Amino acid sequence: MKKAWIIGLILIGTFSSCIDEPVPFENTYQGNFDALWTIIDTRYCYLDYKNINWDSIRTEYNARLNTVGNNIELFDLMAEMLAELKDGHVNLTSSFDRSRYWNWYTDSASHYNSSLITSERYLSNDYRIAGGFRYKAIHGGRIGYMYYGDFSSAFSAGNVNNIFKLFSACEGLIIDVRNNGGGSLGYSEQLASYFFTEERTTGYLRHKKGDGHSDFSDYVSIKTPSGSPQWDDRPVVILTNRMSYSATNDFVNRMKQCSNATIVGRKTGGGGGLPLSSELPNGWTIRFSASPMYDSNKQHTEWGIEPDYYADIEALGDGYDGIIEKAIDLIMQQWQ
Amino acid sequence: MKAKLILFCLLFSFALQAQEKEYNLITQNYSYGLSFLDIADSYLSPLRYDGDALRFQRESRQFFRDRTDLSSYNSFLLMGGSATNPANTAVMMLASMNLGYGIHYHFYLNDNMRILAGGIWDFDLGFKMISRNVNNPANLDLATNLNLSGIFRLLIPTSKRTMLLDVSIQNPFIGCMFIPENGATYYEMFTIDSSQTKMFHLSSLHNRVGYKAGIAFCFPLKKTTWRAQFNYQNLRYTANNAFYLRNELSFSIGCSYDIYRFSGRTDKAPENFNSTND
Repeated sequence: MKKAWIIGLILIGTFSSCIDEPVPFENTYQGNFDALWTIIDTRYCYLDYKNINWDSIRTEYNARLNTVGNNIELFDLMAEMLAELKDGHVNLTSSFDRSRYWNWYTDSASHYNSSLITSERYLSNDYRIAGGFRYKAIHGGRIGYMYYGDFSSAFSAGNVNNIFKLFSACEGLIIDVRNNGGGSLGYSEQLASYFFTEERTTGYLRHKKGDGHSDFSDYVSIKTPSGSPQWDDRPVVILTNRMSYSATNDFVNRMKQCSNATIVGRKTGGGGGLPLSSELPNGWTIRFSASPMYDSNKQHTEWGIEPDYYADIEALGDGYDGIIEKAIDLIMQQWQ
Repeated sequence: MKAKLILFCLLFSFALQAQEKEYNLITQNYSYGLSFLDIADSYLSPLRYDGDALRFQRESRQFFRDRTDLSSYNSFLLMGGSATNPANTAVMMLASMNLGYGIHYHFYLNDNMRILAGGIWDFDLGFKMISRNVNNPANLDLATNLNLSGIFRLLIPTSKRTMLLDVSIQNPFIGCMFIPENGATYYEMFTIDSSQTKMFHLSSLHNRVGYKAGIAFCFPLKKTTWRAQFNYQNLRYTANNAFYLRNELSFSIGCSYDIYRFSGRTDKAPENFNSTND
């Protein structure tokens, strides 16, 4: 009995040396820089897809580390390095700032005007609000229009059921997700489900399984279920612009597979990487794209989704939202 | 005369049976305590978090029927608290529950010394949460293990009371644990499809090592036996290239009771025990 205990203790002592704690980075300028670079190197999912030479970027920015004199300068240097990833899902957050890359929409025209949306021609000031939706039948009551500005805004099946009832006499539906920067993938799936009569694979996802830039799992199918209430076979038009990002991008990708849906406007902003968070020794948080999401053809959605029809908000002059008008034309053509 | 002798023998034999009935008492310990924690969870953060927690534990031990050398043991532990990263910029909330069942063999070294040796099968369920994280704000702690268990027990008799000192140690030996891949989100694992994620792992000395050590001291006063306990746990485990660590130092205080449960038809309480059910 005594021998068994001694052998057991020896075994435990032996095997405990097999579990080594990762060596932590030091809370110094160099340590935090190395920690950030390593997190991206081992966990960011688009280095190979975007052809980013992360090693040479390290060399370039590490060389400037000795010019850093305080935390703000360190933050700015790191933010500049992270901007090389050209990813709106990458943010470094400290107690005094949050880095961001917004060029994916700031480099393009907006093609959205909230004042125009609430003008007499469209929502006016007597629109209804249900969940996160602002909605009203426009174009003489013939077309249902709903604006959804944030996929973090909750809505219920009951909200959508009431909206569909109000639009029951309409000839088609416009869902405007311009300037919707994303939010919950759950709401993206839920909203799309009301337009699918049966469950369908609408995309794929992979996650990183190792530290290598291309160490990914196999593809996992993302399905859009058939939800209730159901919109019937009347045409649906989704309006997009460059600020349609992240979960909005996912929603647009799902609706691309919907037989009676058409995407009108501008190419979406993308944001196809499901982000995760980590942190640096100094307590700053880093958010980064970790799991790439793909369309139904296993193509990346990171750079955005092309619309079926390009449209320009200014195409018809003052007082008209050219993108909404294009959607109205398409619906009326299909109805005829 | 003969009838009187037979009646006397019958009565005497019944009396002897009443004196020979033994009761295996259930020893229950209840304790409330404070823990100091050192946590590492690489799914949530590469940093170590330090903090504290409150804990409640109930343990009970009872000899098996007709045995004074083999006892059953069960325990229930609840803990909840918080920890912060070294820079104090983030808080990790945590809560856990542990259920254990074990059997120990009692070795009687002498009148006052025993060694209890055996095993405890336990089940851990808990979570840790760093709310500022995006898409990985929480991680589940789920494991079941067979632990080797040993206790050195010393009874310390004085003129007025007998105190008790327990020195215990437990080591996880084999089991199963849930450890997600660091790159996989719970959204993928539990909403979409978990087929591409290896979540459950056999645990043994190659990937889950540690010990729980404790010193407990029972001190009977007039009508209450007080129990003070120090525990230390050191546990590290790994799978999927992820590293987890839990160091916990706790101090608890509580009471110890010896009870017996009378119930049913065959195990009724003696008549001089007053029940509110009567």
